Amino acid sequence: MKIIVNEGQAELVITIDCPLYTPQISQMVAELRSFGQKLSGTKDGQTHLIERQDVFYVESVDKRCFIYTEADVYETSQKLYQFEECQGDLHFFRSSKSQVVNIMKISSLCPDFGGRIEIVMENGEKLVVSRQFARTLKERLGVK
Amino acid sequence: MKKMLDWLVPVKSLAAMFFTGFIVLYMIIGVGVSYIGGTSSLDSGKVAAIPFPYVLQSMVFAIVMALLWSALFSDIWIEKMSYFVRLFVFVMVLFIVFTGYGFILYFYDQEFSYLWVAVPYLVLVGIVITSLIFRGYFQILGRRYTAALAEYKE
Repeated sequence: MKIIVNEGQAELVITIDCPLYTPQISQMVAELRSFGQKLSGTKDGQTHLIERQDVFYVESVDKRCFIYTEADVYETSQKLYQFEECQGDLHFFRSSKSQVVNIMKISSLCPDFGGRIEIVMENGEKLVVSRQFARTLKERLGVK
Repeated sequence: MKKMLDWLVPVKSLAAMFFTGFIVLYMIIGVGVSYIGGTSSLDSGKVAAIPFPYVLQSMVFAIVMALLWSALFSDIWIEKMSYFVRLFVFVMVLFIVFTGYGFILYFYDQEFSYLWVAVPYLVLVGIVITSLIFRGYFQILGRRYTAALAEYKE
């Protein structure tokens, strides 16, 4: 892969010349699009900016959406589907109807009865990937 | 009302399934025991019948089991719990229920008291052993998944 940087342009434009639009290219585009973007969430009445890579998972409870980091929980105005659409190409995946999980923050996985997958996050929290979405995770990890 | 029905319909289906299981189990055991004891109705041409108390008891147990299953496995009351733990709790509660019921029947000198202890015990022990075997298999598979996760992270 060649990287060419042309200085002195009026605005920053990134052009990717490739033979085929592969999933890797899609991932790269998504990462470039969200580069430097932070998520906002409220906690104790204060608004905080959260780095995307610090998010462990996002959960929707009673039509309210919460961002979970290693030790904190923030409420966000963003809907779960909006979050999934925005972050879908990155390391986030839908684990159940009400959860989107950051793969990079998973510590270990173990299949469970009923086609589900039990995941342990890096902070020790245990989550369950429902059967409906377990296949997506396995495909992303390249296992059958 | 819709929420109530959403909960009630699967419980009813499950109870019906458990009830069918009890009846089938009775038939299998009945045929087996009578064949071993040499009193098989299949040979003598007699008509075999399932006693009404057994049908009634099966129905009550089927409802209890369906309610318990719904409470443990439907994610309505318990969330984020391992399926294996749920299954283990389910089996343990049934062990207690069946033993208690067996004792009650024994003291009232009712028929089937031994049946309500011995047969469910065998089935439940079978569930525990099968679950443990699967649990071991899942842990091996889990190590493969975790290795794939490590590769993905790189």
